[in-house]
Amino acid sequence: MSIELKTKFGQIDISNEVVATVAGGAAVDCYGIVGMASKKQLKDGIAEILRKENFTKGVIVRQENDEVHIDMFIVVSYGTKISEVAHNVQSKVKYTLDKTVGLVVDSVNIFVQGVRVTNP
Amino acid sequence: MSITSLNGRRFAEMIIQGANHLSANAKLVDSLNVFPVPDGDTGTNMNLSMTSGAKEVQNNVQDHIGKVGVSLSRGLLMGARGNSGVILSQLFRGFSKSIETKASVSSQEFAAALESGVETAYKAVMKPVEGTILTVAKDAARQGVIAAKEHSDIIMVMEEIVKEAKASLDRTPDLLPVLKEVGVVDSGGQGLLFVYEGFLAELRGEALPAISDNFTMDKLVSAEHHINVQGHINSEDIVFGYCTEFMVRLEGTKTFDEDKFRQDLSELGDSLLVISDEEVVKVHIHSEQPGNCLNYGQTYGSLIKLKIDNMREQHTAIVGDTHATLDTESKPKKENKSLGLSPLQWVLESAIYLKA
Repeated sequence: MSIELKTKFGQIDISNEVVATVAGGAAVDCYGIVGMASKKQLKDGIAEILRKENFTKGVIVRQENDEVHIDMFIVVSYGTKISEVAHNVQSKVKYTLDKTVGLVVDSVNIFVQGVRVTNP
Repeated sequence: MSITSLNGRRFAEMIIQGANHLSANAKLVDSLNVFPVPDGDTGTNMNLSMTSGAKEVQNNVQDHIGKVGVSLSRGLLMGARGNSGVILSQLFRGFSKSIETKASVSSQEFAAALESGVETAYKAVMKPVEGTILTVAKDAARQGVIAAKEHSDIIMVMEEIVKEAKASLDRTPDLLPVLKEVGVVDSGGQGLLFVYEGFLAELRGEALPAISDNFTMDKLVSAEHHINVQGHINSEDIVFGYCTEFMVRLEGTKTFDEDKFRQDLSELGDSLLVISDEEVVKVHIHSEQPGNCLNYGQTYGSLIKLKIDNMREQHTAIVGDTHATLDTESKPKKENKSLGLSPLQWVLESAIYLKA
């Protein structure tokens, strides 16, 4: 699956992997995020933090009709206002995809898979 | 006068002054907001977060500084808005944790608490971006610890902290390329500096500084333009086509009232910035009738330093607009809309993206 954009010079295909990597990279730049988590691990009850090369496991890019939706699975830091961190991720991801890929996403859904408590 | 021990009441006053100073300058901080998303809300967000913290403190003023700290950190957490607001809440969460059990703090303990706040703030992020509020807080706290070794007076320590925060803020463009590109300092860092300045003013028992000398008109103008370019897709969407800048030397022909001046000019365009002192007024405005703006300014005195740019031309150059300006037929722009950007810019950007 890939995202297709038409320009007057021809067609541009961007694979979902690319979109996922860009989105993941934007998300981990956000304050309050300690990592991306895999979607699949939910059933084990353990959300392990993904490495950069596996970001795509924590970011699902869906295309429905002409709309692009992104689901992101994140791990946040304990003691932050989680709703606000999630909101910041949404706006950052939307902005970054628009700016670097030229892709307007219709929704960015955030799933907070874990919260990491660090000892002071 | 020197303060060697800080109690809860004094600390509460500091917080309230810090919040007041930030709130007075929130608009300014807004206009510097270019990172991470240039939506011009950093000041508003920080202000709402800080006000929420200050309110909680106000309801719970007491001599025990640790308890005041706990209210502050709770208020900030509940009211945190935006990236900078969340960071601010973390900074003071660490700060409060470190002084939790103390009834009053010395200068060393105060500096150490700031440093522990920075540590907490850095722990909550996977990839800290330098050149932001985090960097400013880190540098300021480090300087505070050094100063506290020599001085037992908290005022002296706070002075050093403010000084270093300012210096660090000026270095942010070197650390974060987008700031340098636009020509501004980091908005969150600027917000934090306002809070620290408020703290210092309270400790010294002075009135709040009216406006930070750190900020200049140029920074505001470039940030305003950056946001503007981001906001427009097609050159023909620009309503106010001329970026007009001028300075008026006030000659007393008409009494100058900044609010009225601003009000009158705002009817002629947008992106209005007015800065004045007793002698000179600096104006920046985007207008479709630059002549009218100049005429208006001239009623107050003689004009010095004029600059007018045609922004449609500039914008075309920036985004590489492919629409011919003399095209009389109105073409459907649908294909562009789906991209969100004009095609040529797309090509340019993707080339840059690949190279990077």
